[in-house]
Amino acid sequence: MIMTNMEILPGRRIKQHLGLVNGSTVRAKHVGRDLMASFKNVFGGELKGYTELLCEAREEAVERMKAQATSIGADAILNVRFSTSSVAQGAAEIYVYGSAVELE
Amino acid sequence: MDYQERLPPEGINTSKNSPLKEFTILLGGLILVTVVSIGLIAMFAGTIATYVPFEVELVMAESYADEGAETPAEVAAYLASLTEHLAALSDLPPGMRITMHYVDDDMVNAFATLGGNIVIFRGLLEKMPNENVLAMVVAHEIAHVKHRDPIASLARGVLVQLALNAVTGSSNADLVLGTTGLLTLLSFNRDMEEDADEQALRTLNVYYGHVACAAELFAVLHDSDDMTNVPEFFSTHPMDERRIEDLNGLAVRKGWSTRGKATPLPLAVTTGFDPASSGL
Amino acid sequence: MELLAQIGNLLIVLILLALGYGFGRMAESRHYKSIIAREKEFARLPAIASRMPPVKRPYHDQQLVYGNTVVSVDYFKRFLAGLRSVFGGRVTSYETLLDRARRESILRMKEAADGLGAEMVFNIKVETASISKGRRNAVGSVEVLAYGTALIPRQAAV
Repeated sequence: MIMTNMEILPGRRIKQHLGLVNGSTVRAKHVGRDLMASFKNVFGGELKGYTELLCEAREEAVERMKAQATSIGADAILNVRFSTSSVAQGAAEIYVYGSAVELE
Repeated sequence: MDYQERLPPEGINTSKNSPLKEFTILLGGLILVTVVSIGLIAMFAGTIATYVPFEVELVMAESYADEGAETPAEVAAYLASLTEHLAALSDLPPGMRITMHYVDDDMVNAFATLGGNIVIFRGLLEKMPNENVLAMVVAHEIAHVKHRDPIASLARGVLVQLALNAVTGSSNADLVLGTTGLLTLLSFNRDMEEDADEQALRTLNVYYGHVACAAELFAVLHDSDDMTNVPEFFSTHPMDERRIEDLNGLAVRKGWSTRGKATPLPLAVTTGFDPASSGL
Repeated sequence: MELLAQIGNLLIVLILLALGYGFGRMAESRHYKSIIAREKEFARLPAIASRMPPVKRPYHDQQLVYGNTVVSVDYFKRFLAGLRSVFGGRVTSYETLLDRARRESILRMKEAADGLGAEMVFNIKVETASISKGRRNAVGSVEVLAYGTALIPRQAAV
């Protein structure tokens, strides 16, 4: 499954656009990560725990989008866009969407 | 280039698991973890507190103990002498002394606090049918002091509260945590009461030669209590019926006689209450 | 007595949980049925995420269209999310919520485009925002906005 945030794939022709595909996850942190984050609030620095958390969430969201694309017979996803939003105290939603296409 | 919309199947962006199942698993897990950690913290706090020397307790208590209203001299003297006798027979560690305070109030209660201070209220005194029952009360409170229960409860309460605050600051499940914490602490409380009951019975046996009338205390308390419908799991003391049973069982095991003559209260005590001030 | 107050609170929470679960499940299944039916109906109006419109058919009017939805969290979902944030992991109770809000917004955008006689909607973008994230005792809700350009075939000159 090819994924790109470009409009076109140089060297490939698009046979058909298949519409929108998207993937999303909502992940929460656990109290352990939260306590470390409170410490970091005092000392500063990268919150490695949270970085990991959001990274895993993003990977899972991308997997879901790929699963949707495969299920409708697409070969590539163009114009991929990411969006992160905080939906509840301590939980963040990662949303990724793009245009599924069939290539020649 | 053709534009078409193909709909992907359901269920890729959502999870199939039942929310109720997830709810029970998470809630059960949280309660279990809380009970275990609070239990450990409470045990730790209670043990550490007993290493605080009694002299420190005396200093802490001085700052807030006050004499309260005037107490009838004869009643106070009688109570002080009874306390002294029972304390002498309670096997107290060296350096521990008991101070009895009498409060002229309707409340049917008695308690032990820091520094070996015991407080008994007029409401409870009025309900005493004879000296043996009163001695059971006094000996029970002395037992609490002997076991360092006041400072242990204080330490437990403070540390558990601190631990809960540290965790609930960052989570939303604080109702669950708070209630579980409270219930765990109550169970510790009930254990302390049972131990105090046992020690008090022992002291009574030495003082009177028998333990008759000791269990009567719980019948008296039971009658004057409005909260008898609270299940034991939610209360600070074991159920009255159970305390009576436990004491009778203990007496049988140790071979203490439960029959004997009840010593009446001195006249000064029974008539020392001015009916006009009883607030009836 | 403080203990009675605690027990009282606990009972209230249990009742709210039951209400939230019952009504929440009902509303959700009804909404999903409606969404699936309307998606089938609007499959004729593709929503494309690409930026460049088809150049082979230049005779199009265009118009920005959007659709937005605000979905509220029910008590059961919020409680479950709170429990989840102690242990970490996927907050499954919110997944269906956001899925519904998103699909509903896209459908509303398509309905707006359909009203204009559009053939398809291009360059769609989706934004999610949380309205009053659920501070204690505040209503927790999520807004999803979907917007794009509707391409309306110009009527051939008479």
